Parts: sequence; structure tokens; C-alpha cells
Amino acid sequence: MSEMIKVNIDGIEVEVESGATVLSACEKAGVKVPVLCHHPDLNVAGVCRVCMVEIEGMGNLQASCAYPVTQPLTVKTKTNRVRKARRMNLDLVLAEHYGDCYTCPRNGNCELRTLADEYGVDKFKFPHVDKPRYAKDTKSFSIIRDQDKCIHCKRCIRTCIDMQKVNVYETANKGHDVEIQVALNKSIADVVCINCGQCVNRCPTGALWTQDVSDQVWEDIENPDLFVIMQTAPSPRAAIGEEFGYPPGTRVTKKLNAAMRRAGFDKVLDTNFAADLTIMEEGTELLERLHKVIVKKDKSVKIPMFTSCSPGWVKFIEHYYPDHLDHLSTCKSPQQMYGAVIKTYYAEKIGIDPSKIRTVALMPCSAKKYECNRPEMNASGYRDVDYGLTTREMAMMLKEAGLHLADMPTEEFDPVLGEGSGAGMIFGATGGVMEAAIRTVYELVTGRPVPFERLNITPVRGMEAIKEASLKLEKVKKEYKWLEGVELKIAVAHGTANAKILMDKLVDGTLDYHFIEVMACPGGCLGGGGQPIPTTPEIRKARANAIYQEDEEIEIRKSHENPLIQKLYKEFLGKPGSHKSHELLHTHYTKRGQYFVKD
Amino acid sequence: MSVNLERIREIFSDYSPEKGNFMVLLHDVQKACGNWLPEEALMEVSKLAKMPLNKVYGFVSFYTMFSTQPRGKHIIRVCKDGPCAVKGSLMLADLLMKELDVDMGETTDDNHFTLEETACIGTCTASPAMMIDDEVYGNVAPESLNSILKKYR
Ligand code: SF4
Ligand code: SF4
Ligand code: SF4
Ligand code: FES
Ligand code: FES
Repeated sequence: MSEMIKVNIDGIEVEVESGATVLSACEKAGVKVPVLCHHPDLNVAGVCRVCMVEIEGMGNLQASCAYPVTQPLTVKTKTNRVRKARRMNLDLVLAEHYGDCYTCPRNGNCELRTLADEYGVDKFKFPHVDKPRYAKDTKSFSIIRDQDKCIHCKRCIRTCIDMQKVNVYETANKGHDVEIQVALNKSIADVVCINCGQCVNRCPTGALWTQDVSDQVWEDIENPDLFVIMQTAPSPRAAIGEEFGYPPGTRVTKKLNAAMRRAGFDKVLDTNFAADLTIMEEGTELLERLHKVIVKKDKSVKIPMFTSCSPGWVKFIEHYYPDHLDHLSTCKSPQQMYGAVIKTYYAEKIGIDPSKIRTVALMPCSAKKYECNRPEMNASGYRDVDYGLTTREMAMMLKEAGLHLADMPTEEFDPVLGEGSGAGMIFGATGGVMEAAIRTVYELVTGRPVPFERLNITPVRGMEAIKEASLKLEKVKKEYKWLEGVELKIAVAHGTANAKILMDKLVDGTLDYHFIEVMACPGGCLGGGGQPIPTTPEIRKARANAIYQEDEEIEIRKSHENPLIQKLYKEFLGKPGSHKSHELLHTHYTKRGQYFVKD
Repeated sequence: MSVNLERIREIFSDYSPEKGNFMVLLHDVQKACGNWLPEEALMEVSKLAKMPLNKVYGFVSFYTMFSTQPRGKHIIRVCKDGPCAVKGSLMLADLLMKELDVDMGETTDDNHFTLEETACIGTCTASPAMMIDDEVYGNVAPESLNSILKKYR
């Protein structure tokens, strides 16, 4: 550990590590300093200058987010000089901004507006933009850009380039004409954007947002001819409470069920069920691939196999590693599997014409909006999933309908395909798909449960960038003799920057694993681009805790033991990997490359 | 006009990040493409320089001498910075707009001239200054404009 240095903030003494920023010392002292370009997940930018403080012995005010502590300092954050400079810099930022708070999706949750309010911007000292200068970019299925509200804080650039290793944004032009731009002023729909929405989660204003389909969903709910079925993923349930004032990590699954029924959804189903289905298919696919590689020495079959539940990750590999798509599992994501099963098997069970069914998926994710619109996602003969709603959109819909979670009773999911196992639940956290898959695959192969206390495969849990584990397969069942003694090597990465590290090794031929889970978003789906804003490492940890707790409380914690899954195979699909499964539950991918997608 | 990718590859065969010759090469590419940088050209540059397209675009957009819009055969650039502005470059710009019947940044209907503004071109001692293609003109008097333009017509 490096040396500790004393810093005095407005009379409060704290100690921070040498090299820590003055801003972090202020946080430690419990002194709030406003920030706009700073974000706890991102590198320092130091461009907005609203975090100015006075440091004794320094002539000029300093940006606290960028100033490193290397010697004892005395800092003042509330002097008149600081307050004036802060106001002026805020006003400069506001001068660039054109927007109308009433109609803005960030109204009520906008960092710019909050700062203008808290820091007493009372009159404009600079000429302000008073007309829109840009057309909104609404072409993408996932991401909307409203550049008039952009304040050039560059959080989106740092998010996309540094955190996600995707190259969408760049600073364009110079001086007065500077703007944050997509290459050649293209629509974000026409470039390498993977729709992860991480930039949306970190934008301080309404300049970036996700597509909103709630009006169409309301229309369908009210249409007497349509039967609207909701499926909810695990992550929104661990986060939507934040939109209603609960602390991060509050579990509201059953209250949410009640609220959604009151909003008018005809059925409320649990995507964890489809996650279990994914495990059955993906686990089977893994064993088939291993068999072909180990026993048949089939060179055309690719190992390691990567998970394919994260549509952001899928698009990342389609753009950046188009020659390695054979490593992706052919399994659709749980959302899409569910859609296909609902409009076939379930439609028949409940006796409703599938053409009259609309499926809505509540997801933590902006990329799922794109995914459900991919042309190939119509295995049921219809659009398998009609709408992807983000956690934020759902919260807005419930508020619009006057449905507050606090007032709701608790209600269960609807039967037939209602429930998932604990294994399905943990899909929401990084490492969760791997853990769920291993719980099933290990038991399938050896006949024994995984050798971890209470089935918790702790090496793949937590927020470490890349996690690895290996598991020796011993005393295997007869039919898996060929796996006896094999050391099953697995890895887990979250955030596409971490995935890129693994992919580059794959390209070099130095990647030595059998099975790899990748989620495009930091922390996994619980940190998805459709989740409540703000997002910070602490908030993501709290959501993960909620997810793991819920797993432990569910009686059935292995996908293959979910009786509803067993029934689905018996009555409809046959067995995992069957012809029917392939038709409905598996897919293929598109080589996209890094240049413009054709219309 | 279609982009000659072969020519761009030739130009970029000499590219290396160490040499820092990106700017010069881009310039040549722009010339080869008829005074502007079409989409296909930038994509090819991005591939050859192994620089993502957003970065190439950020770079190109920073310098006024590069254009991602079609431009005329000759580019007229009027300096708009302080010293020149004081000595009448704005009036010069007005005259040119009238004479060529275009707005600032536009190209004449016959694709012959594009009129642009530029930041200081280092000829402040002879302001007002302007450039046509690579030629610099200092102390430009309004009455000399026509004879200058004639050379390019
Ligand atoms: S971005 Fe913020 S300040 Fe701007 S219109 Fe939206 S809510 Fe208002
Ligand atoms: S789009 Fe948002 S995050 Fe990006 S620079 Fe503008 S205000 Fe900042
Ligand atoms: S959604 Fe993801 S990939 Fe697309 S611009 Fe934002 S951060 Fe980049
Ligand atoms: S928050 Fe420090 S400069 Fe923007
Ligand atoms: S200001 Fe015009 S050339 Fe320098």
C-alpha cells in the first residue's frame, strides 16, 4: 500500500493514499463537491471545471477530480471565490445546452439540472443557444441521441472507447464548433455500436437515451383483441426499486408482479424459466462440442465455446471478430427462447391464437431491443418477442399508471411456464450463467452435485475483471467415460473491454479454456444499459447481493431439476439439442465487420 | 465520382505511425479523390492505418483543410482571424460570395470553386490574406479579386 497523506478539507482532517484525487479526499471527508464530467467508473477527463476548489498555496483554483494528492494539503470548497467560479463554469456549460426539461426523459434525474438548481444558477451570464441545432437520431432500435442536450463532458467517449473498447464516438471539429460525434455524422444505427447502453447510463443529461416503446405497449394492452404476456428478467427485479426510492439491492419481484398485472398485462412470466432452458440447451451443446473435439478430433468444431445470452456481446464479436463467430454458442438468449416457446407451446396450453399474442420482455438491457428486432428472430412464425422494455421504461409506465411498488401486495408468477430455478435467477450477475451451467453440466456428467458448499460456485462470483476456475471431472457416469480425468477450464468476463482481452488471446492461439461466459455490461446484466441511473460499483454490488440472496431462497437451484423444464421437454421439445429445439431455440450470427452497416 | 482504392493503397504504402506522416498522406488522398474525402476513402484509410473510423473522422474534422463534403476543383480559403478581419477579410468574403453566387462553405454550380474560411495562415503581415489551392495571396485588394480568379477559371 502506498503512503498515506493528510488532507484538510474545510477543517475536516482525512488521510488518503498518495496519488488519490482531491475529490476522493472530499468524499472521504463527507464534503460534497459538484461534478459533471467525473464518473466513478471512468478515467479522469477534467473538462467541465465545476469541481473547482481552493488549495492553499496555489494561485489558481484547481479541478478537484483531476488534482492528485502528493503532499499534505489544505483545501477549501465553499469560499466565495469557489462558489463564483463554480457558478460561472456551470453557466458556461449551460450555454451550450438546448433543451426543455418538461419533455426530457431525464427530467427529475438530470445531473445538469440538479447542479443548476443546487448551485444557485440564477441568471445566465453568457449568450445561450436558444434554438435546436441538430436533428434527433432515432434510427437505432436501442439508442437515441439528442445532441442539443450534449454538454461535451465526454463521459460517453470514455465509456464507449475505454470501458467497452468500442469505437463509436469521437470529439469532432474544434474551438467553438466542437461536438461529440459519430464517425461522419452517421446515425448510431449505422456504425459499430453494440447497443450496450453503457454510455446512456453515464450521460449526465438527456443527450443519450434508450428507445421508448411504452406507448405501443399501452396500445396493445388496451386492444381487446390482443393478449399481452410479460416476461421479467432477474436484473430489473433487483433494481427497479431504485426508481421508486428504495435503496439499491432491494428485492421487489413479487410486488412488481402485482403492479404489472394491475397495469394490464394478461400474464406475468419469469424469464428465469427460459434461463433454465438456456442452460439445458447450452450445457448440451458444450458436451456435444467437447465430444466432437476430444473423441472425434473434429477440427471444424470450435472450443472454447462462448455464451451467447448477451446481445451486446454478440454484436461486439460480429463487428470486431467476425472470423470467430463459430466459437459462440448457437443458443438464443433466454428472452428470445421464451418468446419462441410462448408463441408455440404456451399458446396452445392456454388456448390462444399466437397471432393474437404480444410478448413483452422486461429487461435490464438496451441491446435486447435490437435483438428482438433481428430479422431471424421469428422462429415461432411470428415476431418471437414483440417489445423489449427497459427497467427505466417499466418504472415510467407504472408511475404513469399511478402504481407505486410500495402500495402493492405480493403476487406470484403465472403458472404453466411460470417459474425458474435459482440457477436461472443468477443469470443477472456476472458469472451467473457459468455457475448455473456448471451446476447442471457437472451433475449430468458425474451424477453428483458440484463440490461447492451450498452449490455456490464462489470462484466465478464477484466483480473481478476476468475470473477463472477449473473443475476436475472424476468418477464420471458411464456414458461420459471420455471425460474421465478432464480438467474443465472455464473463464468469465464482464464488460467488452475484458472480453476483448480474451478474444485477442484467442486470435493469438493462446486461449486455453473450454467454456467462457461473457456479458457486455459491467457486473453483468444487473449493470445493463436499461437499468436505473446512476450506476456505480457500489450500486452494482448491492444488486448482485440481491440476486444471490434470491437464488438461495428458491427451493430448486439447478436448471435441470426445474419440473416445468422437464415437462416442456417431455411434452414438446423432446430432448435438449433436438431438432425442434434447434428450430426454436438456436440461431446463427452475421459477420458485420467494423464499417458501416448497409441499410 | 468513384474512389480509386488502388491509388489510396499506394499512397498509404508508406504510412507508419512512427513517421507521423498521417496528415501529409491524408492530404494526398484528398487530392486523389478530387479535393474531398468521401466515405469509402476514409474507410480505406481507417483499414490501412489501423485506426478506427471514429478516430479518423475526429482527426479529419479537426482541420478545416479536409472536407468530407464534395468540393470544387479549386478551393478558395479566406482568412477570418483577427488581423485579417481588421484589414477587411470579411468584406473580401462578401465580395467572393456575391461574385461566385455561393454561401460560405458552398461549391459553385459548375463545381469549379468552393469558398471556405480558414484560421490564420501565417501571412498576417500581408493581411487580408487568402489562399487558392496551395497558393497564398496577401494584401488582397477588392479590385484585384477578379484578376486573381481569372487565373483559375
Ligand atoms: S438534459 Fe437536463 S437540463 Fe437538459 S432538458 Fe433534460 S432535464 Fe433539462
Ligand atoms: S452525450 Fe452525454 S455523456 Fe456524451 S458528451 Fe454529451 S452530455 Fe456528455
Ligand atoms: S451503446 Fe455501447 S457501444 Fe453503443 S455507443 Fe453507447 S457505449 Fe458505445
Ligand atoms: S468534474 Fe472535475 S473537471 Fe469535470
Ligand atoms: S490572421 Fe490572417 S493570415 Fe494570420
